[in-house]
Amino acid sequence: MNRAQKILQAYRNTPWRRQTQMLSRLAALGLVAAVVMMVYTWMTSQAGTYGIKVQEYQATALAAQQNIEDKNAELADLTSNENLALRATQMGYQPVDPNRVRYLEVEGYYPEPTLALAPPPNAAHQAIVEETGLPEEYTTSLFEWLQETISRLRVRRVGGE
Amino acid sequence: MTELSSQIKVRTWRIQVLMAGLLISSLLVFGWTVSFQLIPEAQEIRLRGDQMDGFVRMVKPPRGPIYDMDGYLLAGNHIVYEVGIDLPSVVTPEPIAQVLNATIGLNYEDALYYASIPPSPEAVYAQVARTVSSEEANALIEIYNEWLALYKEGKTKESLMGLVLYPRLARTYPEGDLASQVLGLVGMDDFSEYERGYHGLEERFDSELSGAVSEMFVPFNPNQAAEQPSVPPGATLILTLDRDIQAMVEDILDLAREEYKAKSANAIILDPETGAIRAMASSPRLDPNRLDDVDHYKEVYPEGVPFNRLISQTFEPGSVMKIFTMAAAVDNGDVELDTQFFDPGFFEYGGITIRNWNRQAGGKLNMIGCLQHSSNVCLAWVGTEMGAEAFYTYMDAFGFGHFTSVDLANEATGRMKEPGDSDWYPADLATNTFGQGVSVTALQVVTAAGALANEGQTMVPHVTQAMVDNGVQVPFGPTVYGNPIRPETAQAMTQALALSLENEASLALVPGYRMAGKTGTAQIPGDEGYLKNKTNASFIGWGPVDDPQFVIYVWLEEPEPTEGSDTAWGSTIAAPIFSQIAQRLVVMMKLPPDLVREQIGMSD
Repeated sequence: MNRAQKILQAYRNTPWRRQTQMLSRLAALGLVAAVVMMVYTWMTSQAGTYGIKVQEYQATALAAQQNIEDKNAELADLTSNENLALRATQMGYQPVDPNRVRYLEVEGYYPEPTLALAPPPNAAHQAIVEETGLPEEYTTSLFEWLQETISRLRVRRVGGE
Repeated sequence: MTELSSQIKVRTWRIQVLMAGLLISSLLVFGWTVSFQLIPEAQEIRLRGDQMDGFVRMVKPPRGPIYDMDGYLLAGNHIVYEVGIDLPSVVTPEPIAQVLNATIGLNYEDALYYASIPPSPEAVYAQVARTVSSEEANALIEIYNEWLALYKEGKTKESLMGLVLYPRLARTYPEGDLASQVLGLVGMDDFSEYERGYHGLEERFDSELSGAVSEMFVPFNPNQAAEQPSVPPGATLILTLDRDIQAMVEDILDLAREEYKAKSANAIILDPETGAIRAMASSPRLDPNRLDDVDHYKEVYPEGVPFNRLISQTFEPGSVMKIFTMAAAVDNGDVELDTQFFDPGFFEYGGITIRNWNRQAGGKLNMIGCLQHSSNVCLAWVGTEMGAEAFYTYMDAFGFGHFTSVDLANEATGRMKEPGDSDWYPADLATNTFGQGVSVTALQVVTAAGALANEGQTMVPHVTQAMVDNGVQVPFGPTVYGNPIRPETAQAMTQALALSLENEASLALVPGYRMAGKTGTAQIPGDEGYLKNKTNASFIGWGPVDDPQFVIYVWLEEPEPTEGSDTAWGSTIAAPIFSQIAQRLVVMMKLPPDLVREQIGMSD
């Protein structure tokens, strides 16, 4: 062992150096724990914040839904038969005298169609399919796919012959 | 070395003491926590712990709206408030009671009682009013805000803390009492904490309109906040009713009931081709927005009166029944419209003597004359010529004694006794032919008359034309109820009844339009025979004769006789009401007079 090695070994074996090593390890461990806790705390706080936001949005959606219903009812009240009749009377209108009604034939006139608030069943299904743009694997049943495939093959064969 | 080992021993001893101390402390803490599980209050503590986790909220979609055929809202939802007291927050109950008394009219003593309930795990909230209008709620909020400002400035020590308001949706009917007996109403269910529909459409389509109710746990810990479950909205109903026609009929009936001091005045307008009901009106009517007004309810619905008289109240129809008897006999080939009959004024059958309404002989009549003079004797003879089997088979086919299958709750069937029933006698055949001894609903009469106006075919009457559910509009198509008579019979009867009205210069006639129809004046049976001077006056009519677009049935319950008469006749009371309704109806339906339609080739 040369002199330099002896000094190095003496340095390594000094008690204060051992304590420093232990403290360093503890500090490193503490740092890792702190980082983990920090990440956990950050994620928890974020989740909490968004959780509160979710609840706020739910409350806002509920209030909006209630307001829409309320406004619809208010509008219906303003345009109720009784209110419209009253306003018409105030404006000088009178119920029509059947004897004074004049009928005119109007070319191309069709009576008002049935009230439609939503598409009929088939059209609604078609609209959903078109809107989603899903491939046929998701929109066609296995049976339909088999039928279509067979018919396509037939067409090809007929075309080929 | 010895010094070093003694130092190590001292350290080991210290560590052992420290470890023992930690162990004992841990055991003490563990034992302390275990003791919480064993003490008598453990259950209560556990419950309180659960309550602090969150609460269960009912996710209920708004009740589906109901529209008339043109898209006018007949039933919707509006915001009302529930007022309550958060008991643990109450500081001074007296001012809370005073404010509740002043704003929502709650009895002071009751309010004070609620506000003074000592809070406990079982009593944390007291509901003091379930339905408070927006106006009342705004007054309450205004007072609360004024108090809060003073409280923050330290100018008052009285506290309104604990007073809470929760907005919620409640059913509202923007048109008031319009078609209320068709729509029904919404009230609290006796067997659950939810609202439900009663009567009419609200009851018939209750599950569809109310939608699915879902429960959701709302945690206080925001980390556990979950997505609100997706709840589909309640279905929307689109009716066949026309709001303006309904209002017009109701206005006419209100005036008629007042003029004739009738117990009720009622009418139905039906499209004979489809069975669509355009108006179903009664007077008096309930305003379903005033459900808390008990006097109003009792005034409209005294004891024993059904919610919708037109489908649930049965009565003897009287002479309107004659058109069905005659149609059956003609269709069966027992008589023809020009068959001659001599009416001597009485007819003996089954041990009883049938007499005419005026107790006079009708003389020589053909079948149209029998209908025109409303001869009981003639119709009894016609019925007996048919025989019981044929007569009751036809009446069955017309739908008497059966449900019409209308899409409304609580329909009655009425009763038509038949051979084989324990209480049927041969004499019943004779009386049934002119509408006595048989009970029907107004809807049955108008449905059966639809056969005469629609080539012999009856249609299932209905008030809903479509339902919108989950974004899809499902139409309810017309449904055939039956074919009681042949088309030729229906056409011949319609022509005969139009001629009959014209011959007698009936008050039911409508200028410019040819109508067919028949009056009915029915005595009302009581416990000891028919009631004196009390009748049901009615009229069934349809038109225009060349292409019937509507059937109207008018029925007045126990009207007072007109001046100079001791009986309230259908011909003098119900017939003019039919005419009034029809004159307004043709304009509202944009139906030109016969002559105009003939000129432009609209008529058949």
